[in-house]
Amino acid sequence: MEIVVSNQVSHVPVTIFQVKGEISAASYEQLQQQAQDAFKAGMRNLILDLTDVTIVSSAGLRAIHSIFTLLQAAFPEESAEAIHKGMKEGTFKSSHLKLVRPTRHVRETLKMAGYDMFLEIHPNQQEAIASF
Amino acid sequence: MSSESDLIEKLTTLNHIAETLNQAADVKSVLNQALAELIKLMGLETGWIFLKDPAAPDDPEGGGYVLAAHHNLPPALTIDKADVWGTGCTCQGLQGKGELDKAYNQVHCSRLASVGGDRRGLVTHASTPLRSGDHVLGILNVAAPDWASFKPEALTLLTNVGNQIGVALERARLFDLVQERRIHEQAALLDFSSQLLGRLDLDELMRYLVEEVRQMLQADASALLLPDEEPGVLDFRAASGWHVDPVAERRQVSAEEGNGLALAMRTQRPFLEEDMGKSDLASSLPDWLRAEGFRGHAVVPLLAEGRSIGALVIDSRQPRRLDESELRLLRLMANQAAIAVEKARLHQQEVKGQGLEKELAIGQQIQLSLLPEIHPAVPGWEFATFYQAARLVGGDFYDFFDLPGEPDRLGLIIADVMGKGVPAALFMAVSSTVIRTTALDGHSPAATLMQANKLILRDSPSDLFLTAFYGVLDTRNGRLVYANAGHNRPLWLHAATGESEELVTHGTVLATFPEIELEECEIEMAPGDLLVFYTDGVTEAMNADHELFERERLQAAVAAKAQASPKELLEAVVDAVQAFTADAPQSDDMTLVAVKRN
Repeated sequence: MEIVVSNQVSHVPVTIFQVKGEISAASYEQLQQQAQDAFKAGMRNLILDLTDVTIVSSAGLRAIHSIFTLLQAAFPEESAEAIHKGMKEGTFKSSHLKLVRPTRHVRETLKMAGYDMFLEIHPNQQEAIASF
Repeated sequence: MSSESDLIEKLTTLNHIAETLNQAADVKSVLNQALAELIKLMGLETGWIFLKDPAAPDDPEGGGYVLAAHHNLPPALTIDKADVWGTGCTCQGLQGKGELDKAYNQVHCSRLASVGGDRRGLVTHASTPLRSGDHVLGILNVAAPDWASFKPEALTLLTNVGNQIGVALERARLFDLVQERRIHEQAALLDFSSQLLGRLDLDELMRYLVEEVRQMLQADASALLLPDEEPGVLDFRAASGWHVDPVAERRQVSAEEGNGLALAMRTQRPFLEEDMGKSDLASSLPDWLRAEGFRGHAVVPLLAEGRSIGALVIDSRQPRRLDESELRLLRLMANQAAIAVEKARLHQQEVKGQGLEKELAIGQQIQLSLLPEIHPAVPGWEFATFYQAARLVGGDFYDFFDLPGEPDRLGLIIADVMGKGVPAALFMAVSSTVIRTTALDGHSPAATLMQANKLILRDSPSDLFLTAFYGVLDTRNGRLVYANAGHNRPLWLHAATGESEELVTHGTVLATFPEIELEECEIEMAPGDLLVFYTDGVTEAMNADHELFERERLQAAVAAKAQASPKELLEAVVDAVQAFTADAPQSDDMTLVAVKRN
């Protein structure tokens, strides 16, 4: 797995991880670590561009979930209650982690695990950046 | 028929009755079958079995018994007649008084005597107590028009089968006890694991320590270093007051060069430098350390069992020499740190054993102890399971259980924790217990998983989460009501078409959000239909070319065995996965469960 990191500024600074290859048991820790490092350096909004990701395994789901939690924890003012309510009504989507262009297969995996219920999926980086 | 072949036939039937009784986990479900065979063997037509409610006292009037099995009852005694069967009777009364004490007993049946209508001439019955030791479990009755109808040989058979049923009932009772014990063990595990999950980890502990030390000594910066796996190198494990966090930067320091750290570690004595700016050390400092602008510098080794196991460092950006009292305080803190670090390390070792292998073995043990050893025995249904641990234990789990108070309804769970090793196995232990307990409370599948989600999240604040499918199968009509929390969608193989479809519902993984919303769906399995439940270790099995097995291959393997038994079907799927992956090592557990309606 390769990760190319870039930064953009929309309404807020946005970091983009262009991920290439498999997010699987062999590589998920690398993605998680890289996100943690960026987080420590101040990153609060992240786009995972999945265009070139061939596989997201269950370990990959774990990594994405932990990044979601990491970013969410930095915004305690976004009340947990509101998020729960939004989750229940299907209106909550993370304001800090967004996904771009998963392949059909990856999209299926995300859907099966219910990740589409709390993560926005955008067709390209521009739209994703603009959505922050 | 010669007497010899007659004997062989009788023995064969007896043997068959014994087998039937012994193979069923739920003996009560096969009592009817055993009774029917016995009656035929005795050359009679009618009989029934009472089981005693273990909680009911002995009653000379009878009572405290339920009709557990019956065969060919006369119209006057049909079971829909509550007034006929709801009361005590002579044989129950005799049993209550301890007088039903022979291997078989002649009883003039009060129940037959009291009813009007067609009794088919039945007047009397032979009663055999069903016992385990001195403990009365029930009564086996076979009825006849008169006592002469019971041939001595037939009565011997009756005694014999009565004994067999007694043994089988006792075995079932013991089995229930074992089941109960398993639930207790799970609860103990739950306790242990929540403590383990709640404990401060070493990193947290060290962060707390350096913060405390820095504040107490009013220093600008502090750090704690522990040896790296590579000998002669120390890693920054916690730091406070640094401009650039050396932990995040993964900074390392040599423990062999002539620096203060190395000296303190080697001599097991504190190293003090009033002003690094003026010492020879300054020139040898790496840039990242020089950039911090430290002047006053002190290192205290962490000592445990006569060894230096790490070092505590205090830095000031002004020249500073710690005085005696400050140094004493620092050494005390270092002692505390050494004890805490050693304790946490030992604790980690205890869990990890000699390394990952041991940890995985423990994880596997926990996991295996949670998986049911037997399959449900439900007439008209077949079950098969397959579980294979990977190099890294993933935390797969499945279970079947009867729902209390709801005969013919079976709970089915399959779940998978995303994680590995002991934490994943413990998390699964907690989660499976919670799901099971919630399900046994009688909630619907969606309500069960939503409630379990809340409880799991409350009890286990960790970054682990799990996927789970829970369904309730009505074994009378093949209806399955289910909800799915992000688990791989089970396959439904239609016998009529040989095609399989996925059970699609919307849901999110568990232990992520305190409130989740799950959809509940229902299907009706036709005779011959099959359900295949699996974990992602199957579809994500990878070959040497990094290709995944995928659902399509699973569906193809399943479709090719549409007519097979669940066991054969799972064997074929496993063969297909193995042929696909060849020798490539697998990273995840593989679990398959197949359920067939015959």
